[in-house]
Amino acid sequence: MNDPGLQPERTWLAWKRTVLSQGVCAALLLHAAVESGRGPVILPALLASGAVCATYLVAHRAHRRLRATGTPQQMPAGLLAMVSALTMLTALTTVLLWL
Amino acid sequence: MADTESGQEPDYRFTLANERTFLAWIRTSLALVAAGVAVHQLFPSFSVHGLRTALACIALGATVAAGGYPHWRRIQRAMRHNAPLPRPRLAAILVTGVVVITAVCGVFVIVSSGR
Repeated sequence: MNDPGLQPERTWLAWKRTVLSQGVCAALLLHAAVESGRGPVILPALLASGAVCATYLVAHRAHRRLRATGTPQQMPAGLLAMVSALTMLTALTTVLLWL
Repeated sequence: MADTESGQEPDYRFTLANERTFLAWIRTSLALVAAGVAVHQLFPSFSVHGLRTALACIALGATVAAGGYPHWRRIQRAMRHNAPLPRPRLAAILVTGVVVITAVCGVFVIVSSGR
């Protein structure tokens, strides 16, 4: 197996950038929900906040495992599907609630 | 899942690169959602155009997010079987969506500044 070089670190940074983007989105949605005053509109903001926590936990554990064992592991497909689904659901609920 | 286990394990760097690409698609989707929310906040609440643009941006964000995972899967499968990479459908969807939204907004600006 060839040397993965700095790729694991780059991947960790990519996960952190993604969590940051999720955080910005959650903050904007939270602000919009508070502004609108309608109850249900809080749902996308909660989804987005949940996504931030879940994604950070997943990525942090994977990085810790890498630091401990030194051998990189591929992120399971199911976790990627979860990130994709959470993002899509956040956007979809926003559209449905604002229509 | 069958297609992430058949074939042979690709070079680990390619797998990680595919993972980073997936995350870039997710960040693109989140940026579109954030843009839609910002547009919604900027326009007065009675503005039809503002709501339409906001919903279009967020819907495009939803589409890109939903497409990100199958895209990752297709590439991972192609790498495992040494097949050529699949056509970039998701990129075409993103570009089309952005061009359409921008064009409609541009028309709106021209028409409303003419009044």
